[in-house]
Amino acid sequence: MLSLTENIKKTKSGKHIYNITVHGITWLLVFGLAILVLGTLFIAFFTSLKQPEETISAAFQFFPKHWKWSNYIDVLKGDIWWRYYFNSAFVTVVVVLLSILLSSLAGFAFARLEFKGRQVLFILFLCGMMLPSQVYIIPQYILLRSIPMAGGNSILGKGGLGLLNTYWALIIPFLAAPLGVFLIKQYYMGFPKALDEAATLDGCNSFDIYRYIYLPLSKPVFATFSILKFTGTWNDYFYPLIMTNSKSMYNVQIALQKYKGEFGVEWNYLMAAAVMSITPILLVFIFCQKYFTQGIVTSGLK
Amino acid sequence: MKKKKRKSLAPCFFIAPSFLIYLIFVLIPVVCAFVMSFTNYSLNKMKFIGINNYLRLLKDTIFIRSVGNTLIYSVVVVSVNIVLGLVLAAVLNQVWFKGSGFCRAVFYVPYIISTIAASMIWMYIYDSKVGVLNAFLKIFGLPAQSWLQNEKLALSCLILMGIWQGMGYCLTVYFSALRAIPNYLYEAARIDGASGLAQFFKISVPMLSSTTFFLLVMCMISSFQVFAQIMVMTGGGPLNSTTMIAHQIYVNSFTNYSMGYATSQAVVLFLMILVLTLLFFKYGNKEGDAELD
Repeated sequence: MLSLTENIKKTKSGKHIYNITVHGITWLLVFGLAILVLGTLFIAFFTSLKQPEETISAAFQFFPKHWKWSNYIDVLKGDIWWRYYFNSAFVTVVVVLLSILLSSLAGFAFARLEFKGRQVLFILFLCGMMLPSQVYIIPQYILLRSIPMAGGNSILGKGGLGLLNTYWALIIPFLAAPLGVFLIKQYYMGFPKALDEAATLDGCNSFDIYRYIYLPLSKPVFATFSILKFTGTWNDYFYPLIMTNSKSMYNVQIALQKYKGEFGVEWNYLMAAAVMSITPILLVFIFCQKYFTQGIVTSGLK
Repeated sequence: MKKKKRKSLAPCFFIAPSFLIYLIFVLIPVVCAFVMSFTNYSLNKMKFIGINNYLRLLKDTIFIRSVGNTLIYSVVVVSVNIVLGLVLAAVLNQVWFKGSGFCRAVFYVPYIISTIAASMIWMYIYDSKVGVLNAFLKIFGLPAQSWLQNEKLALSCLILMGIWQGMGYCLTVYFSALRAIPNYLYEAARIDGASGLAQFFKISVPMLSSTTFFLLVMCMISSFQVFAQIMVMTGGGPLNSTTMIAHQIYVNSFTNYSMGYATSQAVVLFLMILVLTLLFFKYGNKEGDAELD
C-alpha cells in the first residue's frame, strides 16, 4: 500500500520535472522570438545614433560607439521636416475628429431611427469596408483634379490641378468611414431602447437623444475607432502618394520615402527619420494599448 | 402633421453628411472604374474599346507574373502567420508563461508602425554591403548575399518581412478568441486525463475554427493589396520578380498614364477580393454559430 502511494508520488514528480523542462524550453523559444522582433526595432534606433563611418563599415556593431543625438537635429535641419510633421498631424487630427462626429451621427440613425431604405444604405456602407482602394483611386484622382473653379480650373473643371495637392483632397474623402459607422452602430444597438422611449416622453427629439444620451456614453467606442483611424491616417502612403506632388504637401511617410531616394546610403540619417516617423504611433500604443487590441478584435481591420 | 414631417427629415440630417461624402468619393468612383475599364482613358483622351483591356491582360506577361507573385506572397505569409499566431497565442495564454503581456505588445508593434518605416529597417537588414543579415551570416562563415538584388531571393525577403509584420495581428485576434473559450471544457478534459497538447488540438483548434476562417480571409485581402514595401524596397524588380497587382496598377496608371488599362487590373483585384469575401459570408458565419450548441 505504502509503495503504491510512493510510486504515484514518483511519477507525479517525474511529470513535474518534465513539465518544467518543456515550459522552460517553450518560454525560451517564444521569448527569444520576441527579443528578435524587438531587436529589429532597436537596430533602427541604435543605427540612428551612429556616426556615418560606423554605418558604412561591413563589421556590424549593434550599439553605437558614441550616442550621436545630433543626427536627429541634422535630419530636422536638412529638410522641411517640421512641415511634413505638421501635414501629417493636421490631416490626422482633423480626419479623426470629424470622422468620429459624422460616423456617430450615421451610426445613431442606423441603430435607432426608422426610415425607408435603411437596410440598403447600411449594406452600401458595409460594401465600402471590403472595396480595395486601388479600385476607386483612379476615378477619385480624376474627380479631385476636375473640381470646377479650384486650383486654376475653369468652370468646367479643366486646365488646372483642381483640389489635388491640397488639404481638402487629403481630408474630405476620409471623413466618411464605413468602419466607424459599423462599429458605432453595433455599439449603439446595445443600449436599452427604454432610454429613448423615456426621453421621447419627456419631449426630446431624436437629436436631443443623440446629443444628451448617446454621445456622452460613447467614449469607449470612440476611443477604439479613433485609434484605428489615427494609425490608418498617419501611416497612409498610397493615397497621399497619388494626390500630392509638391514638397510642402508631403506627409511624413512620403517624405521618408523621398528622403531615401535623395540620401540613399546615409543609414544613420535615414533611421533617425524613420524612428521619428514611428514615435507618435508608439507613444499612443504605449498609453492606449487596450483600445488598440479592442479595435482589431471587434473590427478585424487595419 | 408638423411633427410627422420633422420625424421624416431627421434621419436625412444624421446620415447625409457621411453618405454624401461616401457616395461622391467612393461609390460613384467605383462605378466609374467599372466603366473606365472598358475604355482607353489616359487623362486627355477616352474611347470605348470594349473588352480589349481584359484581352490585353491575358497576354500581359508582367501582369500575369504579378498575379502569381501576389498569390505566392499571400499564401505563404498568411499560412505561416496563422499557424505561428495560433501557436504563440496558445503559449502566451498559459498561466505559467511569465511576461505574456510584454511579448504580446512586442509582437504587435511591427503591425502598427508604418510600412514605409518598416521597409527602411528591412532594407538596412538586407543591404548587401553593410546589412545586418550579411554580418550575421559572416559569423557562421556563410557567404554574403545581395538579398534584394537577387531575382531568386527578393520575393522571399519580402515574405519574411510580411511575416514579421502580420504575426502580431493573428496572435492578438487568436489570443482574445482563446480567452472566450469557456474554461469548463478544459477542466472536463483534464479530468479525463487529456494532455496539454491533446487539449490544444481537440478543444482550442476546433473551437477557434471560425476565428481561423476570419483571419484567413482578412489577412488574404490585406496581403493582396501589398504595395508600399514594393515601391520602397524593390520597385518590383529585379526582373519583375517582386511586382504585385497593386504595384502594376500604380505603374500603369501613374507612370504610363494608361488609366483605362490600369482600372481593368484593379477590377481583377476587386474580383479576387470579392470571391474571398463571399466565401467568408457563406462559410465563415455558419461555423461560428454551431460551435457551442
